[in-house]
Amino acid sequence: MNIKCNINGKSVSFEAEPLDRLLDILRDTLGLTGTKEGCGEGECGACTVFMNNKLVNSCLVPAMHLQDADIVTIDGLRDFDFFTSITQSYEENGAVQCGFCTPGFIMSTIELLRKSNGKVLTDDEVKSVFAGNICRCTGYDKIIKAVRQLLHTNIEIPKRFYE
Amino acid sequence: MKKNTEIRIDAASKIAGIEKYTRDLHIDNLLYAATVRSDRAHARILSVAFDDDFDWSRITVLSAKDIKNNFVAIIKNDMPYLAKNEVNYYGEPILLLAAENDKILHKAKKHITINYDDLQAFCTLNKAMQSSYANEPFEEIILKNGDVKKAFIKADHIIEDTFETGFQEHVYLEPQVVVAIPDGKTIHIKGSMQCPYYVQNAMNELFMGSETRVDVTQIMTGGAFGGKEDFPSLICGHVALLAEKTGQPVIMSYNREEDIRYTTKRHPSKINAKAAVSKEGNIQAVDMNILLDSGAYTTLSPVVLARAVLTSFGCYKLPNVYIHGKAIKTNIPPCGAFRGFGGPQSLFAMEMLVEKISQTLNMPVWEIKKANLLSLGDKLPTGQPIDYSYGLPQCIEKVLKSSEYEKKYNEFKKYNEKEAKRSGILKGIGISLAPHGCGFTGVGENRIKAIATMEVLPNGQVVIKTANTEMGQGVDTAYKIIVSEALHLPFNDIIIEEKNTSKVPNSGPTVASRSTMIVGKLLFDNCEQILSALSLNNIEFSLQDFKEATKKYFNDHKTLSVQKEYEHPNFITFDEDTYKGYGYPVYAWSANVAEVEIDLTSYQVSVKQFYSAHDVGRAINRQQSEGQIQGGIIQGIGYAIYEDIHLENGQVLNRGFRDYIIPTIEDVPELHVEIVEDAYFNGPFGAKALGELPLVGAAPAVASAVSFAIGKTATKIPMTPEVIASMIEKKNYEY
Ligand code: FES
Ligand code: FES
Repeated sequence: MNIKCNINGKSVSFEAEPLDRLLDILRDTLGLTGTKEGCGEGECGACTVFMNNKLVNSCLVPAMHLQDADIVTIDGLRDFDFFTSITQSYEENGAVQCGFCTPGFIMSTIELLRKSNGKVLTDDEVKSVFAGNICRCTGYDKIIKAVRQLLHTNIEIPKRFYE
Repeated sequence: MKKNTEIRIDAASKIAGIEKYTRDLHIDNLLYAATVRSDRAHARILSVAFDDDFDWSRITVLSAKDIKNNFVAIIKNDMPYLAKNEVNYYGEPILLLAAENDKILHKAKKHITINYDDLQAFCTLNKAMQSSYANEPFEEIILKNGDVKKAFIKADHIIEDTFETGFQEHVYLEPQVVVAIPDGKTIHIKGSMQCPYYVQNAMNELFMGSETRVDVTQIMTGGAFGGKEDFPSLICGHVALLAEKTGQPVIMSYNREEDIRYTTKRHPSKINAKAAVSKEGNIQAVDMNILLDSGAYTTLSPVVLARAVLTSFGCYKLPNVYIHGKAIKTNIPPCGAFRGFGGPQSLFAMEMLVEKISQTLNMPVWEIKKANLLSLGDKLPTGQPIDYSYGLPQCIEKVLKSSEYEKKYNEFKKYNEKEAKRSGILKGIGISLAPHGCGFTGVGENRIKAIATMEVLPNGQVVIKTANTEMGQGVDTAYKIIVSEALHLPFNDIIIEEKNTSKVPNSGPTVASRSTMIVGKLLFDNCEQILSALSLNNIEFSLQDFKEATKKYFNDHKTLSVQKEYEHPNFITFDEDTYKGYGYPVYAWSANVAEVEIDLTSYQVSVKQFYSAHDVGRAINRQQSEGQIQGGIIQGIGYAIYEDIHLENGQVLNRGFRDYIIPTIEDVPELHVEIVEDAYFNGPFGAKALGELPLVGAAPAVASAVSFAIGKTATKIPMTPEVIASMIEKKNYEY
């Protein structure tokens, strides 16, 4: 089937089988390799992207759901100003090791910033956003610190991430 | 050292998703590979049949018949790349297929039938011990010291138990993946791996006697933890053979199910331990029988066993020991390297033996530990004196204080007596002390003779050439810090050479917590050679001085390249027959306190607080050191209570993250990590090892806390709810 959708602000169209995974379309068809595959079964969060302003595991999204969808991946974030703050806080807090989980964590971080919208969140609220992201290297502590630091900075998340 | 807080050099590119891992490489004409595996644990292969009605023209098939030197070169070379006449474990590779996409491969697999004649399989340690496998261990080690018999005769108490530890899967987030790219003359192998030279050596043996040449490049690796130490040699052989046959690039990329079921894991163990103890709680002798379940082939088991033996005495002064270790064959997937490498198994047994002593003598466990603790100047049972870089006492002091151990010990005792029934929760606090030998065991480093090279460029930039790989642990950043400190250079003037075997020397594998201490020191020494070549004898020279001296040097010379080969300090000797001498040039140490709660309805253990102090000699990068410690602790907690592999007749039943549970962000306790720096004279700026130690001490701390809460010594990890239920209800569950 032919699919037209919007990926990282650009409209694209491509051929796909109905059950092809969004993850493979991003990585193989479109060459957007920032999104990673850790488990292929919706458990690790390495493949997290925004689809119609919601976090999804791209390994679980079949092509047939993509018609007219609006997708944002890690590869589409680098040029936004707010991304610098996120990078800085992850770097400064030592929240990256092997980095394979990191793009997924960054997507969830954006979701969290969007959710908090200036409010101070409890540790449990913070953790619940990352419940679907697995990291085997860091022990999570430094990721939580990075995210906490971000919650204390005023970050404008662009409109296109809102409904 | 000044710059202790450098940001790791690869963080930004990883955050932005620009960093290229193996599967992110763009390769033209790429073929995909798949493995056809045994579905028997032990059998003779009678025939392999290919359906006639399937179109095989688009598929390349490779079998053992195509391989002349069909063994994965490692220690004993007993594992074939592809099984020929016999399979020894469920999942053993029998055929390789390559085609232009995964979908065809998937279909093709369904059109292959393999006929077997089943042989008797021994899929557990218990069964193997009653078979001929027991008499042919992959390795056997005996370490004796003093007079154990006499000590047992004179002892006030003899305390004994059998301790079991389970499989552990690495769960690096990036599954195994390698690719082979032929260019007519050479096959270039690239992939996610720890040890490009292990692969290079294996490929040299595989293609011995043929024209094929191979070089190996490590691509950014998404976690490894030992899981990419020995295993990649197998799949690199697979893609290299397919690339040779097809003349095209071939990628082998495991999905999570394949990765979890068929790659190496931590050796399960069964350890019987017995102590002779005085009525004051002094341990006079330990008699320990260590069995490691090694799986179907030798892989690294002999060395894993060696480390298990050399870690078994924990941090205690043991005047008399008899330690007997065996690595036993079973018909399950071969076990391999895993962070800690035998240490987590034997330390669990020793620490729980101490726990049992404390419960038998009715003395607080900390009192027993204190009474038997090594002091500076004491000797290990190997005869190795502990007379330098012994920061354990400081570690202990720190965790006892930060955790308020003694206060909570009493509080929790009272709580469990008075409140637990009503609240349905038992509380426990536990303590573990852990050693970890830094670098290779015994004479390993003398054998490897690691080499590191550095080159100064005419513009004053410096290139670091080692074979040590970045897999998340931060070694590239650590090397840059060492060199930048020693040469007074900014980070941007230091270049790390690609980890390609035709470009970097063999600095030995990235394992055994040796990269910073051993190879980092070679870099440090290289820096001194550079300074003397440039006649920069003044310690206070500036960047400007360095650049000018370089310019001057290049007026007269063409190149400035220095190289250093590792030399063991000559008093550090080890006798491999008796296991006497220095098992390791030095040990790193940790003290750990865990607080747990046990839910009396679900029997689930949760770790609430974890306090830990590590003596790492010198933290080259404090922040990344803490990160390593935190990550290792969480893996150790996973090992202690969550991570459980289920086997049925030798078949791994777990299929992924759904049924192999590792700690998530919601499971992590508050982590309190402190670093102690008792410098090691032969490490760069005093640094010792850090990679593995954090994992070694974590599980015994949790198990100690569980033993406290239940009032009964934990003898088995993982402490799943079934295990906890059987401890509490004193029933024997089938688990
Ligand atoms: S790869 Fe999609 S959740 Fe793991
Ligand atoms: S940094 Fe390696 S999995 Fe998170």
